[in-house]
Amino acid sequence: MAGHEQSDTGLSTEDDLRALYEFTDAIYHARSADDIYASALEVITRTLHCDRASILLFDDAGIMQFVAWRGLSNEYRTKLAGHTPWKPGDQDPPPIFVEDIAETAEPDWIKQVISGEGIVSLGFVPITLEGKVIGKFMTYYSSRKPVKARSQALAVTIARQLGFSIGRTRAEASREAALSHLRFSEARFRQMTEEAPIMIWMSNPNGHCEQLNKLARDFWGVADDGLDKFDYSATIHPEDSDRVLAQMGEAITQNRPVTVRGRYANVSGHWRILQTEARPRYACDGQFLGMIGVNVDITEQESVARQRELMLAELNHRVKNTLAVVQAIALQTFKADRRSPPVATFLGRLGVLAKAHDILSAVSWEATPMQELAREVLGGLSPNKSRIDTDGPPFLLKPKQALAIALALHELQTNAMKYGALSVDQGTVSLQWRLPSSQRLEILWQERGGPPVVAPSRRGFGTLMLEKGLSAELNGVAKLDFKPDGLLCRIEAAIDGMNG
Amino acid sequence: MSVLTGRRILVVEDEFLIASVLCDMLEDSGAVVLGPAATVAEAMQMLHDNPVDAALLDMNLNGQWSDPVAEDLQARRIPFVFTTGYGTNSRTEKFGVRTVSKPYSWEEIEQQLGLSMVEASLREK
Repeated sequence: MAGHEQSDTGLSTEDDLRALYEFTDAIYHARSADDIYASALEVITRTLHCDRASILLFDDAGIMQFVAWRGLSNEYRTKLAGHTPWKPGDQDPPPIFVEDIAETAEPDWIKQVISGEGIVSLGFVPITLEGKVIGKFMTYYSSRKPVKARSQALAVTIARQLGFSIGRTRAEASREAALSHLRFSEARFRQMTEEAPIMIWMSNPNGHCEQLNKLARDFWGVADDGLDKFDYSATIHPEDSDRVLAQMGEAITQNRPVTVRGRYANVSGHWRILQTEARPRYACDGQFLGMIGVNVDITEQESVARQRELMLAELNHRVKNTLAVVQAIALQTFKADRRSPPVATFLGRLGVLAKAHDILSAVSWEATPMQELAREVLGGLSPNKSRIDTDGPPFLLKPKQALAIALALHELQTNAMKYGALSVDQGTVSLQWRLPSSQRLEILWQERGGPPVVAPSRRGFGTLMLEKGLSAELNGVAKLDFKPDGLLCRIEAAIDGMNG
Repeated sequence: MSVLTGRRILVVEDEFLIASVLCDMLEDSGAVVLGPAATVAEAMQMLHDNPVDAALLDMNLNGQWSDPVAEDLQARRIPFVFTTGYGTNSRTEKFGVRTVSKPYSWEEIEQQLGLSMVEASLREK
């Protein structure tokens, strides 16, 4: 019978072909590495006529480990794991068939373990992947078994099939791992944009919205699949619409980042102020894809800021009203002497205080430019304005400093008009300030061309306020020097990094 | 002789002390003072009942903007000056009139009131 012909040169017997065919079919349908090993053991024992067999693979550390077996004891596997004629990566070695283990040069302990398991003959068949050894399968016989060339060729064929399928499962596993990693990272990024506590969007090059995260969809009440019909521009407040769309349109045509603020109707029809920060996005080849942006709902902050402005305006109003009432009380009290010098001096000081408050309220009680303060205070008594020369670097005063310096400049000016350089036509005043260091402000008031200066016999309120009051308010020193050719006032104030 | 001599000036001011000083000053300058009116309604009534040459109008009367009075004054072509504790604000622009900030000096009031009356008379011609 041709089917049972025992040829020694090829795989021609019907049984062997059938077994190989079944093996190929089984590993094709195999769902796991274990399925492949089981099919391999089946075909190995059937075609190579052994009742015991095993499959071993190098692990990550390069140690040969049993992955599947038939009819081997635990002890045998434990003792002989790692035993191999090949190293990982050996190039296509031939199989080794041992007819009798006792006749080999193996160490005695190995021979003892093998014969202890009742094994006489063994076959070592390398499993390769892309030509390199990744493991082996073993055949075991209880009696001497000369292996014919035909069986050796069969063993190599099986090993090749086995190597190929192991390679395939490994490739699948690594692709699966890569996919799962990708899915995980995709999910993480999706979650990051979807759940971010800020509205995130992307537009196409025409400005149409292509993507909205959850907060943005919730704001406008856009369904998950309703983006096609969504037009954010229709939700902009009519008063803001032209400006917002013009700014956004310009950013799109010029591929430029943009910050724009406007009122938008949310899903319940309430106006909310959104601040949008957007920038252009590009493909790898540099092509403009549209804009990507975030919207922050700043309605509450805006209303707090407005509230604060209103309160500040009210406070300023009250302060000034109080000053006006004080002025009125003084005018009523000194009714008969309304135009007398002391009353005029008082009203002048009150006026400067009010003016300083005006400047401070204009800058929201934050920082007052020195230049502006000097101009406002000294400009009040206008006839002499042109004769006061002011010069100094831009410098911001804190409210307390501004009030103190305003009052001081007023005193100096009033004094100069009564007795000093501004009391005569040719007199001049130079007001200079400079910053000798980041911790010090120096102000110099110097009069020239006035009548000869005589130091006052008595320190008046103005002088006292300058020397004592100013020193305390400014945490510095103020000195009046009654030089014969003109009064010199030097003010030094401590400043810190908060002054601009 | 002041530009105010013999002129009928309406004073609208809710702060009694300020109003009384203002009235004194105006009288010292020879003006005929109407008021002081402390509310929008009072001011409108006085405007309705009396011939007025010019007015001093506090922008805010007890928390209420005095816009209706300003509108009535403009409708009657009566020059007026705003007084305010709020500093220059949107009303100054809205009505396009002179504004003096509290606390003001008498010289400021006299100057601004005088100027607005001169401007008004130039417009009439």
